[in-house]
Amino acid sequence: MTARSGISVVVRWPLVGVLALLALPLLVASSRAADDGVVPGSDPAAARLLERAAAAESVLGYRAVEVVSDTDGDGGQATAVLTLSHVPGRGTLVLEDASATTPSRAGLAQEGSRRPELLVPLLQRSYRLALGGTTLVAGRPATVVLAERPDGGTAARFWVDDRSGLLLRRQVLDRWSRVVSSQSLMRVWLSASPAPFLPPLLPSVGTPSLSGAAAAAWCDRGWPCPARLGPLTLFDVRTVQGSATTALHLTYSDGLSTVSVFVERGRLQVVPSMGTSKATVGGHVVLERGGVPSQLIWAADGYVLTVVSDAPRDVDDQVVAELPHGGADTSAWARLQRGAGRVLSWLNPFG
Amino acid sequence: MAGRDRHPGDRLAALADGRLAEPERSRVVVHLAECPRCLAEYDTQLAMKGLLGGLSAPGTPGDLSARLTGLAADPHAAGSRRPPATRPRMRGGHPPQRSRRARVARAGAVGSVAAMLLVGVAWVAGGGPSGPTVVPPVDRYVREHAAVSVGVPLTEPALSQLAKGLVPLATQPAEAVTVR
Repeated sequence: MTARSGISVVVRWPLVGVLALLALPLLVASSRAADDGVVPGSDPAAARLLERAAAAESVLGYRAVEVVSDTDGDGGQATAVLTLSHVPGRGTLVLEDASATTPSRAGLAQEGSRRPELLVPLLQRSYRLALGGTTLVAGRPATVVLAERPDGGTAARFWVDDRSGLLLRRQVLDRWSRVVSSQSLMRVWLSASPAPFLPPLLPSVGTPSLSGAAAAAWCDRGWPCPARLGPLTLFDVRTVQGSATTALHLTYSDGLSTVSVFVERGRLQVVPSMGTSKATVGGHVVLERGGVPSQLIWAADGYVLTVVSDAPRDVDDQVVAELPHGGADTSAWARLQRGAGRVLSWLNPFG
Repeated sequence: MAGRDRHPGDRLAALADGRLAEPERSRVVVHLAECPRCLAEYDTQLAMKGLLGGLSAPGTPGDLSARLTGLAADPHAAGSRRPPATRPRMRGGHPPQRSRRARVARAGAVGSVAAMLLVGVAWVAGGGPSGPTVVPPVDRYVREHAAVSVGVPLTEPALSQLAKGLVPLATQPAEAVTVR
């Protein structure tokens, strides 16, 4: 069993969830919505640089060689060399070179899946943005932007190309200032010719996002949907096909990492093919599948929760600690309340 | 009526459903006017149907209450469908007119039964985790996660997570994978 430190935080998620979902369309629609609840003290010049980088990622044609490095929960490190080729209007072609154990692989991320307007509002809800000087990356002059936690620690560093605005390097750090993930462009060719072929599309979402009102209706019916999990903000809600019924897919981000929470009503059944083992995360025993991204599973209050996370481990701890845990209250009064709620939901033609 | 001194039994449910035809319907209604126990059972059945169906009580004769009240207060007033000569006579144990005390007792009995019914339904419905058995489709969830995460620019999924969805290349185009 892997043990991680836990932070116990009691969250009244139904109320908080509704409030957050009311703000969801604003967050998605406009960066100005981030004025509410932002960490104060950001340098506007730093925010503008990141907005430029988010836009450049979509509008520039370029080819690049990138080194990607991730640290998993057990301290292991996985590194990959990718060749990126962005075709404006079409998407980003990603190639992974052949290694001794795997053949070359490829995929295409569709242009339409990007939401550049999300980045700065999400970052500013958790971090203070500041300029961090200039340096050279891949032989190109770049300006460093820092994302600082409210307590003063650095959560991430961004290196933005002075000439094109393209993000050249990014590092995410945990609370102990250790780099837990990094992406760095080693060579960049701007205005490169379009890729000579387009490989199969990478997975795309099959269902649209729910409106704020529709998402709030799920929360009103008792589904767990907190507005915030640790430093992460809820920015997307949709339904997906679960194991037996419809599952709710909640997506959170702080602009550095993304965490998905899948919620399905029912009783958890563990089968060997799931490949899970017990782990203590955020002070709670859950089932964990190894690898990146983190995959954590548990049951609580008649729901089965599955967390898929790209976040550092300390953020995973907060996420797990702030979601519901434990079985249903077994007191007679709680049972009667639960039953009354269920009967009312059966009788509700809109339920 | 031949069976007016017998309790209607299953015919109460038929009356509540609106499935009881004349002249049986009138016979049962007359019996209800005279028998608090059957009237309480009838009210309970109506309450159950209304509760479980989320609908108004089905099959309730629109003028039933008025007729019952009328029968109790003035046998002649509600006897338009029946000659007075055929008006049932009360047997021993059934007072010819319900007193206020009897009505209060009946209302109390009905209320108690309805309350117990509601508590019972809530108790049964509230037992244990509900819903089907769930084996989370984690692999599919990881793909869904990557697909939504890529929308946030400059984040981990937009770069390295993409690699997790890559597919092997059967034929490797030389130009596309050339790294200078």
